[in-house]
Amino acid sequence: MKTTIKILFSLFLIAGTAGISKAQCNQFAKKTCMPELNPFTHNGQLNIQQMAPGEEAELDLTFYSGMSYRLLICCQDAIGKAQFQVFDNKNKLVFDNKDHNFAKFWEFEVASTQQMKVVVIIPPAPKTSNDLSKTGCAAVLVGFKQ
Amino acid sequence: MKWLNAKLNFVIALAIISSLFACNNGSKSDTEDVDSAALDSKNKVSKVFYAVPSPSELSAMIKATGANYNKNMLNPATNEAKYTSIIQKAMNLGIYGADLSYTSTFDQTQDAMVYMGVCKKLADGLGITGAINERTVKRMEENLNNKDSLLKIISDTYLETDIYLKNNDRAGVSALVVAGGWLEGLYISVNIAAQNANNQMIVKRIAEQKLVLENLIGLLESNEANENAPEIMAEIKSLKTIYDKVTITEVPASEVKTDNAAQKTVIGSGGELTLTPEQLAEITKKITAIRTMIVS
Repeated sequence: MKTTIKILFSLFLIAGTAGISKAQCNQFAKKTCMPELNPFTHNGQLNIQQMAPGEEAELDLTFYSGMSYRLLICCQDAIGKAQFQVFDNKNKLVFDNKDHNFAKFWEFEVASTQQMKVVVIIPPAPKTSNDLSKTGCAAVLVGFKQ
Repeated sequence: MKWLNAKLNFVIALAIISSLFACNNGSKSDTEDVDSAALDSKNKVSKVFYAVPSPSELSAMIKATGANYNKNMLNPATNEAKYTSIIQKAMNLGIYGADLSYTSTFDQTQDAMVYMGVCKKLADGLGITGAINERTVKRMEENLNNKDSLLKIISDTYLETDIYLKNNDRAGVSALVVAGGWLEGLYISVNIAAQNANNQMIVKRIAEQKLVLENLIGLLESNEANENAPEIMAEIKSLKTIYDKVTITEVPASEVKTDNAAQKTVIGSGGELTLTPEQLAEITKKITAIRTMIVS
């Protein structure tokens, strides 16, 4: 019975750790990333996911004419500086932060309202690294102003 | 024998843990839940992130069209007591949240306080503790004359509600709140268009919602709204059928122009949307019916 309790405790710890990750990512976005949108107003959408080195993610966002936007990609140190690319609705690359010293954000306007795709690329871990399990939170936040 | 006992203990422990997790909504894993709140990871098969503008962004756009404030369009605060089911509470929290953003954007601080109070009641009814509390109300009272601060408080509240629901495996409720907010924004827009036929800017904004509607449906479907809120889903899909008729003119790929002096980058046109008066009338009729169904 003692062994059962020990195993139960261990499994609860493992389960608990997995459960924390979601809340941790949300808190990271709120506490660390959100202030970086200033002086833009956050659009209220919390786009965040745990990512590992070498992974890519994408999302579609609608941007309205008449607004100025700041698109912010904010990652935990564990996964390094993310590359992000923005494609228009014809899938033409309109911005790549790789050409701008891996800037964390980009400010722009759109001549007409359109849907654009944002691709976030987490750099692969160095080949010398032994830590293959490294993951971290990556947030994509949008701020707007008129 | 000792080995057998250890193995048996492990099986018992695993069974208990499994049964506990089986009770947790009976469906998604934690990883999937993180996904549902967020991005479409490339190594997954289907898209899981759907972006829908928040009420604050929609309200700002409505005001920019030159529209005047009209309280009569909003859902009366007294209706709050009618909402008893989770679906009613969630959708009307979205609706009242949009009304709150609308009143604040138009500097109607007293009305904003009333709608914040209603949102608090509905949030409490949904068990969303902490997102809207006495401190939030006090902060609002202290910033009644500072619109920017007021909008920031409302934006923070919206975010806190979203975070609370997602942290507590209630992304489905969060999706309904988002849907309610978007529907109210569209309802207010069509009413402004009906009252002022010359306001072409609002008509343009209504047309642009075609781009968002698909994302909204994706957001709801990925959170099992087809099963949990079938009537609402059917109506929203019916609205999409009307929007499918709205055309987008094809244009060449966008040009990106950067004005270094002004530090401004402008992305060229992605195509213009054309909404005919007949389509606007159809959208107005449909959104009014959906909204009536939700607030009644």
